[in-house]
Amino acid sequence: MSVSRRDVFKFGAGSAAGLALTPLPWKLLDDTSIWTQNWSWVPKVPRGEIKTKYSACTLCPAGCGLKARCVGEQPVSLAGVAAHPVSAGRLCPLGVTAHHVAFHPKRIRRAFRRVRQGEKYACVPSRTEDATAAVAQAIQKGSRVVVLDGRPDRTASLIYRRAAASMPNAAYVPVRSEEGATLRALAELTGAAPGTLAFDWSGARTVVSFGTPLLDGWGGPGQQLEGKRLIQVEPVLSRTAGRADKWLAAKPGTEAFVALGIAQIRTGEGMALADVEAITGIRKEDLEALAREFSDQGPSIAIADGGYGPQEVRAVAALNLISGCIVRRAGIPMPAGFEELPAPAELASLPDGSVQVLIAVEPYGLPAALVKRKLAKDALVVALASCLGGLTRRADYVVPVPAALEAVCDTGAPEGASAAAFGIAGALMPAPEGVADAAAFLASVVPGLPAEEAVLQARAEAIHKSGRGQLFRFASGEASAVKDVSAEDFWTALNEGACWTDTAPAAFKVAANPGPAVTLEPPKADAAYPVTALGSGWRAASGEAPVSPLLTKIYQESELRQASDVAALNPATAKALGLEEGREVRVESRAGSATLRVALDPGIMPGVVRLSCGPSFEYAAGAADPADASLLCKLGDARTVPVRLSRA
Amino acid sequence: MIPYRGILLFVAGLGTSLAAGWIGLPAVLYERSPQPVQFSHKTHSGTAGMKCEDCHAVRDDGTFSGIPALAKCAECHAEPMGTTAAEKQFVEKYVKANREVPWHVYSRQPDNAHFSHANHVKLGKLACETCHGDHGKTETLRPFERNRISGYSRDIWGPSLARFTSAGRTGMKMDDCMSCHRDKGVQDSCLDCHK
Repeated sequence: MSVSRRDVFKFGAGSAAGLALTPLPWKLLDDTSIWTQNWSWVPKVPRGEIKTKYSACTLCPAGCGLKARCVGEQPVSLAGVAAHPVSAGRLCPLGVTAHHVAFHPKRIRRAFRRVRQGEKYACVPSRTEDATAAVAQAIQKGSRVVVLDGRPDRTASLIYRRAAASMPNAAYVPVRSEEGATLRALAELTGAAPGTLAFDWSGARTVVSFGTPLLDGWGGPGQQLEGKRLIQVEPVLSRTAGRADKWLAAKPGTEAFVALGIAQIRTGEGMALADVEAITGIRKEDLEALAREFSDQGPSIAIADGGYGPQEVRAVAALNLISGCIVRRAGIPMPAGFEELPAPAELASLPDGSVQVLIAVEPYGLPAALVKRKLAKDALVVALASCLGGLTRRADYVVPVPAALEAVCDTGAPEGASAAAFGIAGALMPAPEGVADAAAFLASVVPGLPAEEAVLQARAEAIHKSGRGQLFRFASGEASAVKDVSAEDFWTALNEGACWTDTAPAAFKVAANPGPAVTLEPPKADAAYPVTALGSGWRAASGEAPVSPLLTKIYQESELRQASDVAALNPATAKALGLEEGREVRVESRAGSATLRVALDPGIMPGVVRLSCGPSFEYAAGAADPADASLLCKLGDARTVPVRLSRA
Repeated sequence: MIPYRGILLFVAGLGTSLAAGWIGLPAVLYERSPQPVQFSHKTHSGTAGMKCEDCHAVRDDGTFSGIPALAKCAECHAEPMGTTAAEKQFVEKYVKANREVPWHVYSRQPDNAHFSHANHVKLGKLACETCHGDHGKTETLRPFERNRISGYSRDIWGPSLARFTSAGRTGMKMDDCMSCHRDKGVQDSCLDCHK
């Protein structure tokens, strides 16, 4: 019997139908996909006995408590600590994946140098000793040295300050983020010492936030706002604005005038509501309701930690003097030998072109254009960083330092917390061989500097000696008064992840007079540049600092920070300009221009374009001059920049 | 000329695929291997009067002990206590040699899935049998059927290739967990299991 082609097709058709009635196709598909996950070269989490260790997240100053499940020396998962007195169990997506940062694709494990090769720069392997020698040589010549601290207010920062004080011609400069701007302004208004004021979150009922990302990365993960009414004043529907009880969309650059309107109603000294309405675009009725709410639903907090200028922050800070929600907070006791250090310098106050040697510790989230202005021609720049990004793109030498959870570090309370706190974030895994912390690098340049662990212990001793506050041990869930714990037990408990919190803060008596008047100029319309560019994504931990590229496969980096090549517009603005989603758009200001991709976002006010403040994380090793990677810095230096848009 | 040749060929093809899919596939896909020791749960829970938690317990820190380590067995079996060949072999090969038994774990999940026995047993009050069947009453350990492609136990997909039996879902895939969570009204999110 011969078999024809038709026979084969009929048999095949029957087979195909039969296959569809069996689990074979999808079983094989399922099994094959699992097989691809188990290829030998796919990195795997180690298996073994699981031990629980307590530490703290150090990706941002909030220092949330961490409970780590570890296999050997490898943490395999992180979770919050419910009993932690500051973070209360919360941990943001970045903190949940903090243990990934050590394995980031941009992780630096070896020192390297950037050398110019024609029009481009190349990265060549180097040694930490070469960077040390270059810095030591420059110091001997009397060069002006600046130690730029990208993560100030830690105990390690005291060592950097001591290093700067020990060099003949050096200054210590902390990189101040927008967090804490309101409290700094309040301190200036009242004459209080910096760092001694805090908001009374437990006593507040209403919070009026001017552009502050309270639910989007500010301070600790949102715990201060429970039970409070939040009114957000800003031009875009940010995550915080979307979750606030009320959102008032003020025109960009005019938010502080709302504060003047509230002050006018409360004290008679401010700005007439009709004028505020004309400037901000917020209706007079809404302004009156806001002012009434601020006073009638108090005590209230007014906060402007959103990257505003000094006068704007001052206008908002002054409102707190009439709302009664400020407390005086004692600082963390200083370790012995560090009480008398020269005051830090401010980056903006350094003369332009004066910095001949810049040692930048964890240089992410820097105002790139400002840093560039302060550098002398042919300045030597050494970046001490765990991952590529930020100033590593501009540095002559890049020296690796431990990544998050690889070295011992201290943590405090999040910005604005009512009481001081102190904890030690123990290392959960070893740093790569040859990688040492920034204090060790400075000690090789400035002999005699103490090791970080010794200073941490001295600080713990100072805290214990003060007899103030409580010690929380999470492993056992116990809280003890510090005076009931021996110094040795105190240090041991801290190293096991315990946390110290200070006693309740004292009330701060405010003057009846709200303080000197501020001078605010409404933004001037610029007919040639009719659109306002607004920066986004400044927040340190989600700005430039390395974050897990996986983020538990739920949050992607693109959801936390706008990509640097994207211009986000209101659909009406886009339509008026003939622009569509994904199209190229030319963004021009008086200072520069850039070509970006359009993304439509109805939460952005018409006439506004939102640009990324932080640069792309992609390391442009071959670029001619990556110093000005920050787009907004290219276009201008302010938080809002007049621009014009056109099809590219 | 064979009558209905075309239909017969179609049916032949259909039958061949059905046989391949339902009978051939499991025979070829799974590699059977016996457990290294023929352990009798019935003897230990019956004659020896032990309970599940004597060997499989949630520790004080919330972790689950899983299959007990050799030290647990050696507490009683430093020398053979009975007369079975299996126990004699166990003592000679493992206890006296101080060698951990390389058990095949029927319920081993992928590394990205975190399962908490403490949550399910202590908080959820689930009986062991709900997920592990009547394993605790067996005289011998059934062979371990390893999927040659994925490397996991057949128990994960479930004994039935169709994934359903008259008793309902019998597997341990994510879908099975989610289904039980839905039935019991448990709210969950990705992070609960994929940490």
